[in-house]
Amino acid sequence: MELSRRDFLKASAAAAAFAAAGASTMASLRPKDAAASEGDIRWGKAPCRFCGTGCGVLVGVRDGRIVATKGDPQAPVNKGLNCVKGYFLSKILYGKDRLTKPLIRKGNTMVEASWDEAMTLIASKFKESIDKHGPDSVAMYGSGQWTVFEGYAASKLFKGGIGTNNVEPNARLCMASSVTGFMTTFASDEPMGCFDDLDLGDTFFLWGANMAECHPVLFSRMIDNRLRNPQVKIIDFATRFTRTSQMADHYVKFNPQTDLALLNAIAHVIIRDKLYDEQFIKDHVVFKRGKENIGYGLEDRFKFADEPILIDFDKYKTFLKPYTPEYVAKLSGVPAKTIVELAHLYADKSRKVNSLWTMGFNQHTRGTWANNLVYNVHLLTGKICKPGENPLSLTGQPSACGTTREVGTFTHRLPADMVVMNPEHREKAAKIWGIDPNKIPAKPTYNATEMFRALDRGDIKVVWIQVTNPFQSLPNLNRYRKGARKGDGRFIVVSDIYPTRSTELADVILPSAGWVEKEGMFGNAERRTQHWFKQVDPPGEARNDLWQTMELARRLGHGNLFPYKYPEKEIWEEYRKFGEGQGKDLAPYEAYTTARGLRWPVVNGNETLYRYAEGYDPYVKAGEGVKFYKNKADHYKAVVWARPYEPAPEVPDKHYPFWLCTGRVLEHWHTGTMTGRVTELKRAYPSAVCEMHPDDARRLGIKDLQKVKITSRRGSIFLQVNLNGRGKAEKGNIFVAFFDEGKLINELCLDAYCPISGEPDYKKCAVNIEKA
Amino acid sequence: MKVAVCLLAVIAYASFFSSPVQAEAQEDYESDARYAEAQPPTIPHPFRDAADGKYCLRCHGTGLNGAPLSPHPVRITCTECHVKGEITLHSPAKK
Repeated sequence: MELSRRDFLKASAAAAAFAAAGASTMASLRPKDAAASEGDIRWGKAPCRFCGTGCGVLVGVRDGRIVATKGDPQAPVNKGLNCVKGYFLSKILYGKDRLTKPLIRKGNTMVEASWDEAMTLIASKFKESIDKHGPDSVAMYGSGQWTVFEGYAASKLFKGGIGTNNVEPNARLCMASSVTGFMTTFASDEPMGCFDDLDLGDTFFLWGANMAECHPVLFSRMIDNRLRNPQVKIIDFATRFTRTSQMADHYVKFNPQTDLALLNAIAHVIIRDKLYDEQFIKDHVVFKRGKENIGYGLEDRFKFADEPILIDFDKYKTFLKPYTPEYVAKLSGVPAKTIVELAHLYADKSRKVNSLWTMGFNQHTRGTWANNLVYNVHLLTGKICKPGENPLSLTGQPSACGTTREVGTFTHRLPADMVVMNPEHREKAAKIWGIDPNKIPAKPTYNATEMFRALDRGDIKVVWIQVTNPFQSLPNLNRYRKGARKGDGRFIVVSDIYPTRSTELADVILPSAGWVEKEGMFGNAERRTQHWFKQVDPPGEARNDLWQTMELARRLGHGNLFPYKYPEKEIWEEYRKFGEGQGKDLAPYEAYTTARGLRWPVVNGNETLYRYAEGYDPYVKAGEGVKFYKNKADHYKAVVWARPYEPAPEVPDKHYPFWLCTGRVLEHWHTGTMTGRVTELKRAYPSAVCEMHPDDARRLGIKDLQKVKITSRRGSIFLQVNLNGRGKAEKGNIFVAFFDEGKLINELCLDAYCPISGEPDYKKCAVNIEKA
Repeated sequence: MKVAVCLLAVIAYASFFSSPVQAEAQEDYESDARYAEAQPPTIPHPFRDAADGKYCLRCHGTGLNGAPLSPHPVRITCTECHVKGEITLHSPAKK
């Protein structure tokens, strides 16, 4: 236990280095003997390829190959820290089986072809289908991992050229509920706060978000804050005990789906005990109520339109009456005393309170409501639009914000929050795109789940899939995998960097450029758009997705939409026009090539840290305080929605007595196509396991690490059980990660979705477990 | 005792509030890279999958069992960066 003098000095040096480097646990150390210049390595900056945190990295290239990546010490997001995935970015593009040549299906084999052959075939299939069945028979399925340019080009080609709204991203499966939450509460997408809130706040409510594994660097920022400020409290509302729970101050387990009731109970207590901010409500809030018993999207072509009615504060109070702590305690399993205590903590005037959430709220059959309900708590207490005090919707993918939400690559969307249903919006888009406004269809077609249902039925024939892996990630996967291979004119194109469970169902596979093999821009969860230059060439004949989309455009006679010499920059400058003056302002291209990202709206070169807040947001004039200036219809106020608790569509019963929840683990990103090819990451977490409670296991005669068979009404799977891992399931629940291409857990999931957002619920369905 | 003093010194330094200053336009990535951190070593011994700083620093904060000292003991979410590697060492001694 005695420290040697040498060790003491070493540790002191470390402390001194900390002070020198900026006095935060996150800042990089300056080693005593700084490594001599690594001479022939050329360094550049890029945001990380993985999650919505958007850590800055430095990429080191030698002889045309990435030889190192490091956490970027100058990046404000992460200050030199990465998570383990980020630290192994140098390896993700060098798996042995990179796709290097276009491949065309001939029977059961994929045959190498030239780009010309592949694109000729693809164009002919598009033409044929459009001629025979109309423009709505073709579709593009893109990604929150698309660069801004790739998303913009896809949207422009399909909506402005081909004339179909069949454009959907995989972000429909992760952030759609967050978007509809923002749109219904604030009339504008994306958070009002930023990551600085993690440093400045002192109370953090996490809701169904395993930040320690899924937003690790943001979690580190929070833990760093708590280390420096012992009054900081982290409360983890969750349905399973994770590494996050372990480090939190308070783990609050609740029954799946009852988050809705808990949020209402918290609001109930805040009202009951008169803890709300009466003036803030008077100045900044209106109350509304929508339809109830709104269904679950289980039927093909399910449609829903809400009918909001304006109510008043008194009617809202009456609505909340049933959500007493006692009632909700019975429903949720959270003790009434705890509910009251945490409601008081939420409303504590001496505290700077933040809420953070990701998939627990979003991948939810009432995901929009869950988002509305968490905003309610912040709006009732006035704890919003203040530095260190905001609700923060965490984004999962690196550019679900920057590309899919901001560029608007959804069936109903156009850039800058605009929608195809609005003739003025179509007019504006047509003007910027230089097309006839009647080209853009006025009606949305399908959300992602409905798009693949349409493919299954044959209403869609041709689908191009870029930068995503739907035939591993869709819920109720068996139906959609089978649907893809039904023939009868169906034609699937998949652009990817590696063979995946989606390329294996493709008719044409296009080898693509990944990450720094192309120039790109991503937008992270705090509205920070970040740029990177191309730093290495893609392997073999792989080409970037932007070129691929423009090439199809040319072959379909829409080359005039892409008259660019420097496409990335010119696309950016064209796209910028949509958001200018709309509270979505973006800076000129050059600004991003040097900055470590900029948070929009960027006006006169200045970032906006806090939207809607005087002194921070240039759109709010002096004396206005807080103004939700995008919600003109409600006199620039935000909406508190009366949303009830409603049960999940499929709950455990006698035959399927367990809840199945799916999600991610630290080491693997999404469907594991990149991380699964990095030795260190694969070795650390090689395959999916079934997290289960020891009491349930004992009752079923299952021992730790034994094999079990898990069955739902839609599929079954064999997995090893883990009773004592990093995550600990609660009784009656199991958890399985979805990264494992050999264990397609999504076959068991139910493709029920939030009727408002269209986002499927990957967190709740009913399964049976037995010893294998 | 020395460990505690050490850690206290580190925490004292680290309590200096670090505000996220927007970096000036800076293209000297090489200088930044020189002291930036690269791949964290993987863990060569068995450990609890639910390990956190309290668990790890029992040895890596003190040198117990010949464990290499953490250069950044203020970071306590260890397994965010350090993951299981090839197991080449015996289990750490029981506490």
